[in-house]
Amino acid sequence: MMLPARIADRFKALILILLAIFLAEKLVSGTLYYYIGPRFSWLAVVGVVILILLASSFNLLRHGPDGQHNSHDHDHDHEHNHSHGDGRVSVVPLFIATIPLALGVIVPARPLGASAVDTRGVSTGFTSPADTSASILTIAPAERNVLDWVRAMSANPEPTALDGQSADVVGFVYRDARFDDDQFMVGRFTMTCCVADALAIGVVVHSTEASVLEADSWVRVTGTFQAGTLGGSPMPVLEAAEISLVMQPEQPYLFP
Amino acid sequence: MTLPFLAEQFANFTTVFLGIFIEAAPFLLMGTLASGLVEVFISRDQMLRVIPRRRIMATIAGGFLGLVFPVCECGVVPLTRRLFRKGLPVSSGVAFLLAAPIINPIVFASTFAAYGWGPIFVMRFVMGAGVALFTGLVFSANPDPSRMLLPQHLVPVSGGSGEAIDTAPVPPLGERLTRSLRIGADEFFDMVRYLIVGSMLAAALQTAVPQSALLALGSGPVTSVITLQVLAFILSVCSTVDAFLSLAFVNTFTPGSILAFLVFGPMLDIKSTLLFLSVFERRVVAYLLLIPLLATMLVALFINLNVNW
Repeated sequence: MMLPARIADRFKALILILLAIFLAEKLVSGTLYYYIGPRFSWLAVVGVVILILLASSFNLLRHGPDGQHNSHDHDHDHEHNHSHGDGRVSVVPLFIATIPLALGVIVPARPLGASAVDTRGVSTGFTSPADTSASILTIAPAERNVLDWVRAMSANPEPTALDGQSADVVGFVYRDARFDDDQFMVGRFTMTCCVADALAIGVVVHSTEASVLEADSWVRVTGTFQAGTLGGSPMPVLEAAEISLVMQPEQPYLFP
Repeated sequence: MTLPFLAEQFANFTTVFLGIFIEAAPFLLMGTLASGLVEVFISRDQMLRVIPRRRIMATIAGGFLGLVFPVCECGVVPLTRRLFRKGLPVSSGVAFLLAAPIINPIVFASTFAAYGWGPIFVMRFVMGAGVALFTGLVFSANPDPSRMLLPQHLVPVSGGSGEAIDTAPVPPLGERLTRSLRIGADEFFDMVRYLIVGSMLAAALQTAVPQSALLALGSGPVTSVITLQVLAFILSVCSTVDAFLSLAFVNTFTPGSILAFLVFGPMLDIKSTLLFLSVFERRVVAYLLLIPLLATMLVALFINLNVNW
């Protein structure tokens, strides 16, 4: 389907403005961090500014002495989407450009959770060259999040390494075939740049209440680490003293 | 709240798709902005004066143009397209296209932040420049480079593009800026569909194919290289940040494969391959994919088999 270029230009300006609003809304509401890490939020700001600049060019030129004329050579003999004021352009590129808007509006903003773990994989270990057991041990045990504990386990893989240490962690409930009925994992996704690189990590929890917890619900678990097993392999397991249901944190991901 | 399986997968697909799109779109916007400015403020004559006449020198210059235009793999495509219209030779354009996402100050900084001064840092840029220049030179051997580009990017034989600016009286600055924005906007609509389709493909693959299965494949000197090249292609993460991501693989993968990830990934991934289709003939995109893939793979294998870190 083809549209007269003048009409297409209005749609282009409209889509640019809507994309700017879309990004700005994500930035203001904080749901931007379901998609990209906080250290890249400046990207969204840059995006909004450029989108508004580009959109403004449509309106301004209409009043310019030069009208719609631009410096393109007018090679009309091929399919080309640059508008020339009088030609007709295809709606397909415009339609495709609305897909992020449509999906963003139809599908409620949601961070990755337990259901994404199965394809993305889950790890009870996490290391980066910057990690040393010393850097983790500077964080008081009560302050450590799931990622800190998983790092501590990677730094010292002995199943008894954490025996007796008390923990207080928040994460989503995850389980797969390896877990016993009285076990589950309190999991988090870690993310470096955007959700495309999100990796799930987690701490194995042992609790008699485990079976009543619904997968993907957010919980806060306090307890003490003891040597245990997951699917036969020995590893530190958190013996839960108390489990409470909590709201999903504002920052659902952890950032290494 | 638990949704049925398919709805869950669709929600996860949407999250990953929007993640890739939101991260990449600002870079594409920056690229289209730069492209609009180049169109209005740089004439073809100025361009031809800067580019060395000898093809080999022109290719090498293209490989290091990223130092002047710090763009990643999304932003580089609109800019290269525009430079082709201004008369940039195909071989230097190819070298620029492949090298700029690596040989650029932002990537220096992020790679340094992730790896510090060391063999990975140095080799990433040596290998990146080498593979890009090699590919550019292969393309420069073609006697009729104009046939590689889609027709609308050919330099017009008479009239049109650059000349119009040179002969007409120069309009006021404000008007030229507005016009460059307008050109950038058109360009954005021309290219964003490739980014969107590419991000959707990448998100669909990530939602459907278990990554753990892929990662389990690779610890050998050969399989690790192939695995991380495939992963880099599917993940489609921006080259300015992929160094941080690769840290996750450092302990389980060979040094050669990490380098392959850091060199091949920025040059080509699902979204940039689709963006290339807006510049080149399909057959040329296939070569653009295969030559860097194989060249990076060979160097990475050589490192794995011969260098002991």
